[in-house]
Amino acid sequence: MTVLTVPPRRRSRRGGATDWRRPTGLNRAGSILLILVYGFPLYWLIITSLKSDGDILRHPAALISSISFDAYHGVLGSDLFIAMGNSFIIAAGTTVLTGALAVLAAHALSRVRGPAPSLLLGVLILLQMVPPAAAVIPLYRILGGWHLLNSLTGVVLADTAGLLPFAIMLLRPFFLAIPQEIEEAAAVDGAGYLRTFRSIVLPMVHNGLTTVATLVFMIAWGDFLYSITFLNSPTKYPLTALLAQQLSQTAISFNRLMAISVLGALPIVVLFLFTARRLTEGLALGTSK
Amino acid sequence: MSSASVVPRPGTTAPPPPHRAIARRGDPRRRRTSLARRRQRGAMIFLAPAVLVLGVGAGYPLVTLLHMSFSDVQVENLFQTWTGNGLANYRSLRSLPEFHTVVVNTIGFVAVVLIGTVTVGLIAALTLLKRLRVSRFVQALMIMVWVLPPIVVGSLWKFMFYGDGLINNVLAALGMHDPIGFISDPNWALWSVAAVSTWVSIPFAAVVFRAALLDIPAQLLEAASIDGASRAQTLRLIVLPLLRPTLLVVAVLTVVNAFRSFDLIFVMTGGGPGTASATLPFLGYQLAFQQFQYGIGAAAATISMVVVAVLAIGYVWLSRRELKSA
Repeated sequence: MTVLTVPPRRRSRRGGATDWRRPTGLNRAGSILLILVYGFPLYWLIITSLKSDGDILRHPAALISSISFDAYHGVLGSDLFIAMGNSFIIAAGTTVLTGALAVLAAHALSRVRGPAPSLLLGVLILLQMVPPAAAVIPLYRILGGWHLLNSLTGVVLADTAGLLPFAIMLLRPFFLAIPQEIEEAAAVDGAGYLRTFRSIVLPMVHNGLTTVATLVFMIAWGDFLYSITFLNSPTKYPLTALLAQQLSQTAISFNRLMAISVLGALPIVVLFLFTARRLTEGLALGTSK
Repeated sequence: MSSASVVPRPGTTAPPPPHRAIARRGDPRRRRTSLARRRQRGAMIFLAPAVLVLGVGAGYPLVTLLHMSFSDVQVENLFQTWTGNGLANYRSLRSLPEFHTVVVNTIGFVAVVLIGTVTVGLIAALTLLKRLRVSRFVQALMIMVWVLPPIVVGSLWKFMFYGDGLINNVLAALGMHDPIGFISDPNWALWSVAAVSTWVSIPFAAVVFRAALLDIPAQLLEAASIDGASRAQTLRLIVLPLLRPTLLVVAVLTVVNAFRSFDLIFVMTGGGPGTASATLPFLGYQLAFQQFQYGIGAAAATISMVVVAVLAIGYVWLSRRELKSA
């Protein structure tokens, strides 16, 4: 029996010299603090939406209250359903269009040689950074020229152009990770570019594509600036614009406002619950390369 | 930038390490066969649709914006042809009484969001580093906030910030007499929006920092520990230097996002009271779509664009250098 090798774990328990990845009391305290800072506002959102019309007036800041569906009864109506439908059209349209364009472009970018890819990457980074509040001014004139103002198609096009750089950049590392030899082998076996792409490459980036599509859907669902600027009839408004419209009214009841917020966030939260892990990892990967 | 890259762990979505891709692309011995050339052509065709959409939907608008900023554009001629007016729009913008305030606002807003996001993001990443079940839960909770529609986040905080809202009630319970006008007081409005903007951008920074921290080889930390380095020394002398590229990337992205934040300002304060919480891109929007001074609005937007372009170039330059040093 030898006792020459001290197990590293035991050593790390002695104060100073330590593996800094091991949990400490500070970590637990920090986690609790983060749960409060991020969880409490969400709790507040939900509990407020569940307060009765009377309670919200008498005790707007009560931490607990009896549960009432007054607010939901008040907001669930044709306006809300139309707005949800519009949000869905914008989000789904943008996701399909952006996803299709980005997956082709990201693959090409990972395969083309020469100076073109790095040049294009630079342009993509620049375009990704354009403040939407700046892009919206010329877009208004351009979409007007194409008779696409006050149309959901116009919003989808503007969102697609805005999110495409982000989507391509996030997808690229997933394509880079595919060994080129695999594609070359397919080509030697007689598969054309398209065939190789469809049968070999696409299945391999399935994870990345799901991540990017999910994020694009979530961002497009939250689109506000383009909708509020390009659309002028309230029947075209998505949920975000409806919410802002309600918020700007003088006599707002907050339980209803929060009920609309909850309903607006619900599809995103559901989508998130299914993709949380993949999304978190995809984000870290996409940013780091 | 690949030194900041995430080496895939078991169960990660990412396949093999990145250095293969880099070595492969840079290989000068690669012979160009006709097969390879055909594949290049295929790639070009794949690139075409995206380039077309970006050209029409993103490039052309930028050119139009620039053109607009040097033209006399009002409601009457917005959809007609424009006549150039040289630098008149930029001069009008500069002589606006609110211009100075808005520039100072923009710098303050961006600085607060940047410092808050990077420091708290890093602390949160260190907090969540341990492989505890609670870490995964907290991380999921934070990212969920990050993906919520900004309008939802803005209305929620506006509600909490009101004179008789939750936060003032809590402050009153703690013994404060007068409620704070978080969104109605010109001295507070900008910082309230900046605080919410920071709250929203921390989760992203934390996730990216956490991934980079987990990427640091365990041997390095063990070696430091054997050499008797304290926890603080390890952090300062080993972890932070290795994290530098990631810190820079996150910093640039945070600044850009702070520049982009429009929804929160719009929904929480509308840029007010007065112009107390307006930033430069926001002012550009107000000038164009609320005062119908499209030319002057375009000038403000162009200046924002130039700032962003400088950052973008810095970002590209940084990421290239990191790639070379890797």
